Amino acid sequence: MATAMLKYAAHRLFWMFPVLFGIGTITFFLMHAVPGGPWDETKNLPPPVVANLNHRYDLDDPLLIQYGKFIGNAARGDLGISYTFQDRDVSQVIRQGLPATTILAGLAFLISVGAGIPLGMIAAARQNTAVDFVSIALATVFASVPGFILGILLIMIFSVAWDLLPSGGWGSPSHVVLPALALSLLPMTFIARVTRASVLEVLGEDYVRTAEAKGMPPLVVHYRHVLRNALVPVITIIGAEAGALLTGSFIIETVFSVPGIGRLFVQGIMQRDYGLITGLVIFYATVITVVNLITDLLYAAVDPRIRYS
Amino acid sequence: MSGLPQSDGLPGPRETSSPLSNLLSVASSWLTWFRGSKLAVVGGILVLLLVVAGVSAPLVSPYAPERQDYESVLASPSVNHPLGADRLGRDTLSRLLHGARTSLAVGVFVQVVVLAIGLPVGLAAGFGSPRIDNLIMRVVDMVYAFPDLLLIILLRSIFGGSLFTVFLAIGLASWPTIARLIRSQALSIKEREFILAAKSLGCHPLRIMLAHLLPNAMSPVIVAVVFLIPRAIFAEAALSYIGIGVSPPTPSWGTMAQDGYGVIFLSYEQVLFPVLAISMAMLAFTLFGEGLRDLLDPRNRRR
Repeated sequence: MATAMLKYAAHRLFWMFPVLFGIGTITFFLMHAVPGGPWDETKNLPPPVVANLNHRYDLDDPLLIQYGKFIGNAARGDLGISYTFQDRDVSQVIRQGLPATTILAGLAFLISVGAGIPLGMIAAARQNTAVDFVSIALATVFASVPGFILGILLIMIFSVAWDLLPSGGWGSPSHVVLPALALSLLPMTFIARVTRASVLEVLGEDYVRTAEAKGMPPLVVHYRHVLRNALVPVITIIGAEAGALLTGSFIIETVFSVPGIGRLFVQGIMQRDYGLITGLVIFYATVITVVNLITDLLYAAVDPRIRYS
Repeated sequence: MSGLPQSDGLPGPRETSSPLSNLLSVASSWLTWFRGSKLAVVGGILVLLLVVAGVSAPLVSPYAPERQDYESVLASPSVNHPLGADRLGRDTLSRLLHGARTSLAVGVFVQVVVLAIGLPVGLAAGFGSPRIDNLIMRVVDMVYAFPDLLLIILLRSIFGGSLFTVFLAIGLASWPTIARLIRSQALSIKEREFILAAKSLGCHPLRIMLAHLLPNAMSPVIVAVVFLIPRAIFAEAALSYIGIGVSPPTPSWGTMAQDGYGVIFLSYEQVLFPVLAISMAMLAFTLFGEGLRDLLDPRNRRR
């Protein structure tokens, strides 16, 4: 059992590399297919200056040489240099934005899981009552309101109308509340819906009827038999959401002026900072791949019916 | 979903009947079902309203969407400007109506791109030899590993330019869902007896693919495509909001939200209305899609 799992983990870990290599390659060539160089946006530079800059950043090498250098550096964890933040390389820029993004995503994750699972359980326990109907209706509505729209609505209520919380910026705990809420509501409704469906499915299983029939107290049945089994599919979603929260916050960060990686990415796009964009895409892809791997392993660990293949 | 009437009028297997009677029986079962499902009816009506608003925008808009009236900069809703005017004095209602055209165009044309890539790729993977299948699916996996919006932004920054490249960027990031779905459908349907029958009658493989396999694989594909519409609408709004979507003279709800957000402390209407419009459009297509899913794919009926 344990060896099968190790083998599976090793297999998945091995496959991470070709996928990341592919993503890095696609991104590199996409970014170099862009008409114009990174210096186009700035003032009209005289050609010798542009030539000098290109030489300084190795942009005058043949494409394949540049590609080889890029892959070699990326393999060693060096994601290259940013053209806008000239005193720092991409890895430093990422490290600088990481705390804000992590705090934001972490809090949003806690809210979505901490509220989503209980809400789903309550809705399932009161299936077909008004509570269930209202929560499902709300979940459906919220599921179609994107985070940045929700963020704007939250700002309108809590910053403009009531003047309770800041509409943007970073530095104090009050700055985290609104963006974290805006980021968490969508995954929360999703988690609640899956939890509800999963609990309802488990409630109909034979082993639950057996446990009830042999006279076990309802509380024990609910916690030991229903909840444990019902949470198995929820774990997969939670994992995917963790990855999505870490990498999907760039619009929320832009709306709330949070100095995180997401806003850096959007700024990089605006400034045509190809070095920063390529580095961030690889960083994002790595995070997603690793989170997916952990989720799959966790999923297999909690559900003994799943075989590693 | 609780409270949803369970209808038996579902489209049955369609191997034997003629296309016309097929269509009629499917249409009648849809009608029966739509009458019973409030969800799909509400979604359908909202979608219809959106389409009517978009199509009739040039006729019913009180002003041209880019007409600036400096006397009514940031005007509150009034008889002259039913939903107020923005910071350049442009009528918000007129811009919202024209914005519906942009959102609908994105919603529809992105799906054209998605199907144009997803259908052949999915069919090739499902029908080809295992080696071709494996090769295609690894490429699909790679595109799938990109976060959607990230890839769209990346493609968008490369293409630059027109509304067409917005369709293209969103479509190029969204097709893997459809390709995977069609592949799995093809894999399961190609083992069925009627395909064997068609083969033994000497049917050309291409004909088997297009005339026998595709129509039978369509139901879940239609549902998935409808669910991609609100996501495309969202992607366009988000792109326009951060300033790399539809370029300024074309009215877009995302651009309007961004404009309005800049003056949120002066006039909340300018951000509220476009934001509500985006949410309503997404809700409309999501409800409609859920109705369609319950109808076409009874196995996926939500509890």
